[in-house]
Amino acid sequence: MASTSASCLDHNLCEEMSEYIEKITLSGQKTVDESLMKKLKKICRISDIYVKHAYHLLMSTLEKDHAEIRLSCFKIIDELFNRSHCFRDLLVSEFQTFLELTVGINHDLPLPAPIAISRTLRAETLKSIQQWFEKFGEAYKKLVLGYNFLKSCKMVDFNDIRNRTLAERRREEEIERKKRIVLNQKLDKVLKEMTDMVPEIETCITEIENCLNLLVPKPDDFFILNEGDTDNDDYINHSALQLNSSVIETERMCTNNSEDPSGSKNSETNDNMPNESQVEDQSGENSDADSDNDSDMEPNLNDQTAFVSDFGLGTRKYNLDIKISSDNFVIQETEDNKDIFRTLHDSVQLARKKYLLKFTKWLEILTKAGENDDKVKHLVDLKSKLKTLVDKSVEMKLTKEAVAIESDEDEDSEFEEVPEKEGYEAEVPLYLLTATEMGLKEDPKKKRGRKRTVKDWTMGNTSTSTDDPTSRAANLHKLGITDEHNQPSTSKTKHSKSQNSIPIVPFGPDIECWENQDKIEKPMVLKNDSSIWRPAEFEIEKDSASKHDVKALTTRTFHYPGKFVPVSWSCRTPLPNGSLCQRMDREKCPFHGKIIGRDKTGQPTSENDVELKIKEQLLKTEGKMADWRDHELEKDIEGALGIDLGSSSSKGKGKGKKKNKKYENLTDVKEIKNTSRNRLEKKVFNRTAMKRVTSRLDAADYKRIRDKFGNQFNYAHK
Amino acid sequence: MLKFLTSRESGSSDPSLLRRAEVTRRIYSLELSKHRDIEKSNALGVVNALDIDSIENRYLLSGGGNGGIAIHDLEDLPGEDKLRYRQICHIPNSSINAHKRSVETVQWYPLDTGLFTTSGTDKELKVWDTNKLLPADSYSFEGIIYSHHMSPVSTKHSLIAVGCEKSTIKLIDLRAGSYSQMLKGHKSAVLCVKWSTRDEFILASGSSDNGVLLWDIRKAKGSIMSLDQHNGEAASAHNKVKTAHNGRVNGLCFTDDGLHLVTFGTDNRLRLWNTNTGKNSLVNYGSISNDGRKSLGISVTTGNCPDVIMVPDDSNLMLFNLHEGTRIKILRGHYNQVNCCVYHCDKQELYSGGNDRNILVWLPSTDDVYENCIKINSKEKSNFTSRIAATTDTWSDEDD
Repeated sequence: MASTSASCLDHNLCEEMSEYIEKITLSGQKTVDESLMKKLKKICRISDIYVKHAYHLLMSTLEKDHAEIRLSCFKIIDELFNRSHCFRDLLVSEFQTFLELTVGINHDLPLPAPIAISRTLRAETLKSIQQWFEKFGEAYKKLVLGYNFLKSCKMVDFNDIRNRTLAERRREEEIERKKRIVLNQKLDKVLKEMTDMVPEIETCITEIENCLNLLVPKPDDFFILNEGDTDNDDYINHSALQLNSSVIETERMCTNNSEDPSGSKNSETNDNMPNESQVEDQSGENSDADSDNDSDMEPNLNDQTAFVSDFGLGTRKYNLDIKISSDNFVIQETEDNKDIFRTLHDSVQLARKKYLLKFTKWLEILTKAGENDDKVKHLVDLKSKLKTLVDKSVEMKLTKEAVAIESDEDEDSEFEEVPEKEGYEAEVPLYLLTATEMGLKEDPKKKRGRKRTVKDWTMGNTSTSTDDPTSRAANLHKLGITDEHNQPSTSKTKHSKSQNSIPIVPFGPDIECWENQDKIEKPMVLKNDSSIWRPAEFEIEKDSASKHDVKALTTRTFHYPGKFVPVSWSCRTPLPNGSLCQRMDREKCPFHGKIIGRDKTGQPTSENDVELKIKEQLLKTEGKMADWRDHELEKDIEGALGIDLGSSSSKGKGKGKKKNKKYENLTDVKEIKNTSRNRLEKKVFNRTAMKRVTSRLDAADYKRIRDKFGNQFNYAHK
Repeated sequence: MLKFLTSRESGSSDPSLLRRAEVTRRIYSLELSKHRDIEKSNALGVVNALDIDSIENRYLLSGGGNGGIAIHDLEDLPGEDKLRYRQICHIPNSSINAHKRSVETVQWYPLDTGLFTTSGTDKELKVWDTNKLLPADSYSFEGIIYSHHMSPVSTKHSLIAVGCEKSTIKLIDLRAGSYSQMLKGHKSAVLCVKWSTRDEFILASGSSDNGVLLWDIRKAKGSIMSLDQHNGEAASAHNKVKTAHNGRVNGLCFTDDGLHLVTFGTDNRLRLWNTNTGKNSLVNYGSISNDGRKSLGISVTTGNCPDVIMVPDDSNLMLFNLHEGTRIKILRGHYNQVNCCVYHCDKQELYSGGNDRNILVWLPSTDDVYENCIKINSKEKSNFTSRIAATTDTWSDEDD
């Protein structure tokens, strides 16, 4: 409860309060800002004297001639009236004034413009009064009297208002009820759907999980799998291998360049192993496993020793360190895991396209209904699970391959992942061609390699060219010459690249005719302003082309190659608030003129500058007081003419701006009155204009009469 | 109060002292009664005139803007809660006998409640038989009757002074049944007439020519004096006409002892005059809003220490200390113009009527006597609690 303990007003609080009130009332909005209102109420709560202060502030605000101000003000009053006894007492004692200002019971004081707002103000006030009467009528006699006064004397139909509010409420309830029913129906439907689909989704999840487990074993599984490695055949080309010394476990993976569009031919090329980073190794030991993996490799694998030596290894008893770049991890698809891929892809697509969308819909409806918490929880769990799985599979590009397979199905990804056409030979630019030598890379076991994604195709990846019989690399291969040329060839490429990067500038006629400048062809002006045939001599006109045109041809523009130097100084003119101007301009500050050297306090350092400044100031003051302009006289003239001659423009500019800013949120009442009709009226019915026009008309009349009947007595005199 | 009681018992002080002190206290604490009101009469419409009979101080007579007349009983409070003064009879404006237009003045016959007089803008003065509610007599005039008055102290005559649109005041002799005398002196409509409460032959009248005249009806020649607001010391010599106000005079009231006269004008001033000398006592009451074209009822209290005058001020009632001019209280309750107020000298109650069609009862605040009474009365308990609830502050906690 508000206590009356505080006996004196805190000035700051009062100012705060008036600030809030001003803010609210000048906002021009139909609803009151809740936070501001709360702050205001908080202050009023301290003590009744603040309530009194607020009351006086509000009443004075309410007198403003703007319906929007009054409406917001009334809303504050309504709030406080419902809260404070003291406020009620005060308002009720001046209830008539209040009614005059809000309901407009006094015909001499109609409610201000805009009319629409004042109408709402009136309606809202009456509604509130009705509520106040019901709530507080018993305790405030004058309120009852006022209510009766409005009812009996001002013929306000409160019953109608009450009925209307009742009807409104009922209508709202009805709408609410209908909404509820619809929502319930939706909910039922969703629950039904859920019972049908959740098991489906769960199976889908397990499917995806299993597929992933099969395709990507967890690190824990590796060691176990080493023993019975026949099991992990499915992981094909990248599965875990062991060299027979078996100190190191290696995992082979296929990077992007392992894929080969024409992998079927690579049996010839598997001798160029020493390419460092990306190695594909097949253990001879696991030949049985490998034989399953890759039919292409089979001929090689039969001869293990040959294979080992093919890799450039003397024996198998080396320790091989193989670096695995983790960012280009792609699981190859083969005959054996084809089905898994397919299922995975299918289920992921299903999850992405159907289930996840369903989930969002369901969740929306369930949360709206606000029931079935455990179901919502369950759904959210399922959704997150599915989402992670789908993300995982997408991330690992497990499905991408599949996507590529069935590109016709997958319209979404069509634009991103274009499968290469069969037999497509990438057109290799000349300067890149040499690089093929270094990119040589054999990819022995890609049967399906032609179905690569574009993403895998990078400029650096030129291994394809080895398969191209026309390429130099292929020829070199045939000859058995290998990598000695690598180094020079790269530099060569660089050179050719740099050559290409030099821009070619077209030369103009001035250079073309450098030696005999007179011969510069002047631009021909064809005067083709009509389609009529004309003799040939007209074409001679081109000689008359002016020197100007020639000049335009011979002049060249060169772009300034200098560097941009940022401005490192600021204007530093002392400002009225005590600080210095912080604008950073190169030459001239738009507010303070030319930038000059200044000391710490902002005073100009050099004497010349000081003098200049003084002169400028003098000029300014003179301009202000310009002697031929007498402000008062001008104002008088303006008053008489009703036209703005601009006498006030120099004087009260700042003030006017400020005022506009203050009321910018409100509807401009003057603007409403400023209709085209009014403006026209002002012009047309201007006294001088009227006089001028009538005198003209009179003169015309007189002239006509004099011409016609000048010799008649009646018209002899004007 | 106890002190006064003991001193009265011991006889150490004047017995009237207690009464005077208590009356003063009660008058000073007048406020709008929360729980008592006057039964609304449909006959009235706007309330233009009020009068309490001087015999029993019991019946409140009221005249309305639509021609109706109503009588309320101020003693008989029916029902358990005793909340409402009942209307005992009324003359609706639809009655053939009723005034056709607005009733401007009503007055009880000073010696008997069996008779009362009314007059109004239909240019008729009617004398009513209260028991039959029929007009006993009726007088027609040439202009709107703004005001009429019977002397409350007369024993030798039964004259009704009538002030109307014409500038002459007519005196109607009830015994003769016609007007017996005309008082000429005003230049314009006479808005208010009042008999002196001291001398039965002295009459005061206020007019829209800004003048207030005092008449002795025994003197045939004319008025005995014209009240001058400047007391003969007018700043401008060319203005020889004596004026009481700088606007229409539409309120007149003698004090209970008849020694002073209060006038109220549309110059928003209230003036206090000495009736013997006719001098303006120059008490400053401040500006009181008044723009009425017809007479306003103002009243003066009796029997308390400083006399208090009650004046309608637009929609409020003002209480002034009569002799010092200090404002005692503003009574807020009416909407629109207040037309009249009457003071009940026994109960220290005030009744006021205005353009909002209400007759409001102003009671001395009696330190929650009523509420205590209600508290005891269990039937009213729920009602009472709800009323208490309505007066409490309800700052909700969510405002923090």
